[in-house]
Amino acid sequence: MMFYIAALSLIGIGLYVVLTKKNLVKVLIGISIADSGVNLLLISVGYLKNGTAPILEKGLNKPMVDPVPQALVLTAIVIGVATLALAMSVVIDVKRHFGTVELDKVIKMMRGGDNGDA
Amino acid sequence: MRLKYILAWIFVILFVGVVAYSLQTEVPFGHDLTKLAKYYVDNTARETGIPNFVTAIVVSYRGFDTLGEVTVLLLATLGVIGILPWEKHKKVKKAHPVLLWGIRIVFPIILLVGVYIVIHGHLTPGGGFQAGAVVASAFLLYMVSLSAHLDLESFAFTESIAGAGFALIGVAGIFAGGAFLYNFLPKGNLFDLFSGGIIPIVYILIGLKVSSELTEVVSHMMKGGAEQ
Amino acid sequence: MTIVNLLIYVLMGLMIVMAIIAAETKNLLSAAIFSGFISLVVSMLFVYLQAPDVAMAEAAIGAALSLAIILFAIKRTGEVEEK
Repeated sequence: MMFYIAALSLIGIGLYVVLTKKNLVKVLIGISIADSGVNLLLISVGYLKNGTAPILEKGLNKPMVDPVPQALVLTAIVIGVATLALAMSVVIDVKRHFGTVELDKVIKMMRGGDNGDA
Repeated sequence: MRLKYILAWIFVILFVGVVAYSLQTEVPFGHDLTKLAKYYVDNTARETGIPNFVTAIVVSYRGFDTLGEVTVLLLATLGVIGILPWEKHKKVKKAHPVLLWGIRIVFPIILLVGVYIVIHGHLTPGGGFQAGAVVASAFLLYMVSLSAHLDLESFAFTESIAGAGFALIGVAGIFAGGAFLYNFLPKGNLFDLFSGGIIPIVYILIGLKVSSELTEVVSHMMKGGAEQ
Repeated sequence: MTIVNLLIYVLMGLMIVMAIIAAETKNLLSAAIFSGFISLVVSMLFVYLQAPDVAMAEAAIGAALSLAIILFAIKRTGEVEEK
C-alpha cells in the first residue's frame, strides 16, 4: 500500500507541474517525474509477498514475482528517454524561433502574428 | 491566479485518491499471481531454455512488440537528428585534468561492464536495453571530458546493421518454423552461456542498436544545431 | 518493523520531498538534479521490489542519460524560470 501511495504521489506532483507551470523545460521535468512514478506503480502491482526476482537459480524453489510488468517497464524506460530527448529538441527549436520558452509569451507572439524569426 | 493552483491541487488529490482506492480494492499490494504470470513462471524455462524470465518475455514471447519498440526508438532518434543537425566546426573547451585522466581509466571499465551485461543477459539480470544505456553513458562521459568528436557515421552503420539483423532473424524464423522470431537454433542446457537458441543473439543486436541510438541522441543534444 | 522496512519508508519520504522541491524551485538546474535523484531512489525501490533488470535500466538511464539530456537543454534555453 505504501508503494502505491508513493508512486501515485510522484504521478500527482508531475501532473501538478504540467498543469500549473509555464516554462516548457519545467513541464518536461514534471513529465519525467511522472514517468518514474508510473514505472514504480506498474512494478509494485506485480509484487508478490516473499517472492524472489523472476530469474531461475539452481536449487532455489521459491515463488516468484510477476515478470510481465517488469518486461513492459524495461522497454518503457528506454523509450521514455528517447521521447524526452525528442521533446527537448523541439523545445530548443522553440527557443531558437521565439527567443523564449515561457508558454504564455510564445502564445502571445503566435497570436500577434510576430513570430520573431530573425 | 490563486484559483488555478487550488483547482490543480484539488484535481491532483482527487486523482491520487481515486486511483489509490480502486487499486487497493482491485489488485491489493502483494496479491497472488495472475493466470498469465503463473503460465510464464511455470513454463518459461521449459519452453525457451533460459533462466531469466524477463529476457524471455522481452525477446521471445513478445519479440514482435520489442521490434516495434526499437522502431519507436529509431523514429525518436531520427527526429532529434532532424531538428538538431550536426555541426562540424565548433569550438571545444578543454576539460579539467582530473576528468581528463579519470576518463582514461574509467571508460574501458564501463565498456567492459556493458559487454558483460549484454552477453549474460539471458542468465543474470541485464540485457540489451540496460547494456545500451550503460555503453551510451560511457560515450557521454567520453564526449564531455575529452571534447572529442565521435565518428557518428559508424554509429549509424552499426545501428542499421543491428536493426536489419533483428528483422532478418525474425523473417528467417518464418521460413524455419512458420512464425516470426521462431527459435530455430538448438536450445542447449539450461544454465549454459551458449543456450537459448536465438535469444542471446537477438539481445546482443538490440544492445548494439540501443547503445548507438542513445549515443547519437546524446551527442546531437550536446553539439547539434546552430547556436543563437 | 524491520530495519529494511524503515529504510524503505525513509527513502519514499525523501523521494516525495525531493519531488515537491523539484516542482516548486525556480532554478531549473536544481529541479533537473532533483529529478535525477528521484530516478536513483526509484531504482533502489525496484531492487526491494525484486526487479533487478528494471533497476539496472532505471539507474543507468534516469541518473545519467535523462539528466544529461535535460542539462544540455537547459544550457541552451536558460536556467531561470520566470515568475
